[in-house]
Amino acid sequence: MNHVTCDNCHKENIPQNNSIKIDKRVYCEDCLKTTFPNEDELKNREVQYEQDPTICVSCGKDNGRRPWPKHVNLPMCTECKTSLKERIIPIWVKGFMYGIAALVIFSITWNWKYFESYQKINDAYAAVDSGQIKLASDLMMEASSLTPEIPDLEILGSYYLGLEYLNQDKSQLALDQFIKCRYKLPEEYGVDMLIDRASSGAAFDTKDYPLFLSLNKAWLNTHEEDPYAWASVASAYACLYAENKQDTSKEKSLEYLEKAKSFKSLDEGLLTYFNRIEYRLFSKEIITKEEYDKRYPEGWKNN
Amino acid sequence: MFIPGEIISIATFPGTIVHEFAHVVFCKLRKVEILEVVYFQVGNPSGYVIHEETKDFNTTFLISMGPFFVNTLLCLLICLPAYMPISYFDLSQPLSYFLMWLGVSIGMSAIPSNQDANQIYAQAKEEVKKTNLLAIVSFPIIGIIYIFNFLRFFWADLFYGVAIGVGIPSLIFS
Repeated sequence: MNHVTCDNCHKENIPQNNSIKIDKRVYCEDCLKTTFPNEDELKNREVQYEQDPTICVSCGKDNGRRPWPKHVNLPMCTECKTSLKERIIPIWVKGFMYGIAALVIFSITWNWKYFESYQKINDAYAAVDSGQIKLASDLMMEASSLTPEIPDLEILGSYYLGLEYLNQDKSQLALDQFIKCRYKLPEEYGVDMLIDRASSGAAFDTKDYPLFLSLNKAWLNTHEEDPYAWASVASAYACLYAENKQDTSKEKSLEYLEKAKSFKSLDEGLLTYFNRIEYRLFSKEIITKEEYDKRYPEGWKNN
Repeated sequence: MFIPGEIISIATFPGTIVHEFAHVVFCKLRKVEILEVVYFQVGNPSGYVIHEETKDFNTTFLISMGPFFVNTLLCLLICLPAYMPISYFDLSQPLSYFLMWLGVSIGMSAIPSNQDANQIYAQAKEEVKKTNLLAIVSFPIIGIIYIFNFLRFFWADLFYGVAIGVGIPSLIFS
């Protein structure tokens, strides 16, 4: 510990920390109180407090004649400095921040499957927009397997798979998929209509032509503005004609076919469909679309 | 709706701890000695850091603004993954709601206090005379901080936390 002598009372061995310099004169505590009883008297004077560098500012530990290392210009013993460091980032704060970091990592890892699933769903919708229905179905099924807790994804996968089967004229397989979606998708997905279409196709595949006709007529009742609906009834009558050879069936078929042809905007697929019906009426032969396309890649002509 | 500040600070205590920790981290990065830290207490202020005087403006700016960057980033990192199952997939997982609370409470404490703004302002006044670009930029920031702290009475801190933790993910995954 450093000692000083009071310049006022000349008392010696005063601990440095118990003294103060005013206008460059050293005062002990007693002299400070008696000479400057009011704080106002220190105004406009040079007041200087010199910290004893051998006394720890925190715990008061005496280091003899050797000064303590400084912390922010103040002497501090090693123990106090260590303790201050520990207080700056205590163990519980370290634990808390490690916990936050762990939670961030855990949260990202745990929820990653949702990001992947989200990405696949978006890709599936993009595939639908570009007409890649099979790809859309596969992507939706992959999303479903990533997040099985979301049943809608599997339903959507089935829906797109059903559409794909319907495109491939695999009506029974399409029907199986659409039945899985029944009552589970919003009305705008048209599941009931698709079930009717797939049922109709399945009836054609199993050669149940009376059922094929009644299903197509039921569809026409709700879709009178759709030339496909009229053509499908014509198709069913053409099948019956091919089977029973009754002219009434042929006449009915031609009647519905004319009505279908009377619509203004007819797409390429519909024109091909008309051609197939006409071929069926002419040949009295019922063949699949695949077989028809193979035989008449340029379309059938009645020469 | 008036809710006492103590209740809000208890409900969002992780944000206060992260805020003070960010001050400490930037003090350490800029080699500024710390004299005292209170990470959380029930009262006003709910936390604080006392450090030695800073020697340059950049250091003052970084120490004062540190919590803004750290809290905002952490809020986003925690809320972003938790948002997806709740909002997009409509799943009610308690873990996701816990993470959203944690993230938003951290985001709520992102904005520096008026005390932080005062420190920047005190030095920016001098630095702007030396055409310090950061000092010039800091004036509107200081203004925003003062306005924001005034608007805390009207839940501006909650709005900020929700904007970062919910608003940004909803923009990304819309």
